[in-house]
Amino acid sequence: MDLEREIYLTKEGLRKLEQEYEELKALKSQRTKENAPTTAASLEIDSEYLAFQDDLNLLESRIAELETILKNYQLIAAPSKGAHKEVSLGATVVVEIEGQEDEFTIVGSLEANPMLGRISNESPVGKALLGRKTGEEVKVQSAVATVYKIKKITYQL
Amino acid sequence: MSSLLDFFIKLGKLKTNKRKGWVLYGIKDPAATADHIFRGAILGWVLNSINKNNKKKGFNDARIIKSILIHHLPDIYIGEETPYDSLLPKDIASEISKKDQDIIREILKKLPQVSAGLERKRAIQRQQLEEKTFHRIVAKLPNEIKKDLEDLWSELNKRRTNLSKFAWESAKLESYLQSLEYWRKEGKVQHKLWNRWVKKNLKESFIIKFRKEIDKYLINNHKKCEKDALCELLRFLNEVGRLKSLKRTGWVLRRVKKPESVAQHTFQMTIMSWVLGKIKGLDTDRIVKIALVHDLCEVYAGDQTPYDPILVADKEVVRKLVEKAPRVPKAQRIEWLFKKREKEWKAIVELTSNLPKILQKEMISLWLDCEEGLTKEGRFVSQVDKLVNLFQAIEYWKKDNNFPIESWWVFIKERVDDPLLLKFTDELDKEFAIANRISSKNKNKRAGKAKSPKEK
Repeated sequence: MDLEREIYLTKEGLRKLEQEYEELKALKSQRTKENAPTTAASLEIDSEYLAFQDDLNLLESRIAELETILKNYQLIAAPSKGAHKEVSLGATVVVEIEGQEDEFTIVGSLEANPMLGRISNESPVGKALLGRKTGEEVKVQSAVATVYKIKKITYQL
Repeated sequence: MSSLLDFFIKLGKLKTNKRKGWVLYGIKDPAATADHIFRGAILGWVLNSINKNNKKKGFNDARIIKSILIHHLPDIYIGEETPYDSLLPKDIASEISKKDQDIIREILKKLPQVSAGLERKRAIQRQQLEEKTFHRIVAKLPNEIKKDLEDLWSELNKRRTNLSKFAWESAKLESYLQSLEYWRKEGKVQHKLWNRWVKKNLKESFIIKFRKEIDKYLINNHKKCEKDALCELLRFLNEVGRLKSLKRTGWVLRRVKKPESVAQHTFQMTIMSWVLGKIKGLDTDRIVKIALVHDLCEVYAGDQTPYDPILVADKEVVRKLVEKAPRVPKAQRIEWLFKKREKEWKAIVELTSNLPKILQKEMISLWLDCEEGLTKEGRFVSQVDKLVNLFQAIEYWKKDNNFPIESWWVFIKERVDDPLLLKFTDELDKEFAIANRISSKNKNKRAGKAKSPKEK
């Protein structure tokens, strides 16, 4: 875990990681008692579980990573009413990009999944949107510059 | 960063270099060096893993993978060598003329008659040339990764250790397997000569065992696979071999001539992930494995793209569509994503279903790690995958400035957040801006020249 970076989590993200932590600890305890099956009986099981079934080192390093996260995270909370008009962590932003509309929720790196519309606050677009208001045009610089026009900001935390 | 960029661009040559042997045989759309390296690395890894499982001892999988990944690096500058080189017409192009083809066909009918002394002398000369070239290629890389590469190379080039012998022979076995696949498909390969060559040169006992298995099914036409691990491995490698000819959809949609295959992409991405991961201080043994398996599901699931939910049959509409990043309504995008995931999950399970269970689970776990970001290595490789796409898009754009590159830039700024990779993106940005300025100047010059006669 890169501790130089802040760890931001939404309430939902935190709940999932806490659940995963409890499940993996239980799995580790089973494995060390040597009464757990060494391989899963079926592949129809929870996919995240599968990754740690046979690899105790991997299981331990994931547990250690989760412990670091759960000790150091900062919860993303909705901003005060006055600050609702600008983009901060946790905001869902409707933007217009070259005549097309899209919607992003700004989250911490661990929860980012751009295909699901969750973009990291540390990505160039995430960074550029933070602090901006509805109606503003945000230019993300690169050899090919892109303009994101903010149409709506909401908080669904 | 610029030395890394230069190194990664050079790697690209192995994706376009068609393997000399297959070109000489006149194989249609032959595998490139990178295709061979990709499957060779998987073969070495899986074969070693099965051997370890049987004997309860064996080599480090990742070190075998890494050795195979670098074994053709000198070819970037000096090209491939075949035992026939001194007998061939000079200056053979990648596409051979009909007249040369007839001459070559005669030459390839028998192994060159060379004395043992001369053969040894040539092998030493080649080894020395490869040694010198390898050091030239890695000379400017950051020290930490340069040292890793040089250590591996010094073991591999002189085959000083049992591990390096195993890796080298695994790579040769991949070529042999490919020769038999071409022979069965197109009949142009002198498979008996290949068979003689491997019998003489491959000496590792488990490699020989697998070679015999290959012969049994591909030469002697043995049909039934008796639930034997090596027979199932052969079937698995045959299927994985499909990725050598599966062209990546993103480039096909953008009408790239001769686009890279999934295997070639994986080769380049694995080395890039390894090198960048080393600089970042990550577990590169895990990284190379994740990168190697990340697209294996495409054997059955195909190469799906974010444009899929909005694709139409009209080619002209598609041409316009891919000029911009796809902006699909959220609900539609999520539905497509879940279907894609399900299809890929089934594909990776099916592809690995007859491998030893421990290996199947390892491969699926690594694949999931890349998909779900379960470890820092998985999250890193997943972002390198996106960076490699932009990197390749720039290479295509350099060849043809009409290539629609915009969407790749947009994607990268939305999807990558790793500080090291963003630094690398900035380097790409600079290089692209320079190339863009040069290209615009040239366009203006050409436009000026075209106008001048009229103006006169």
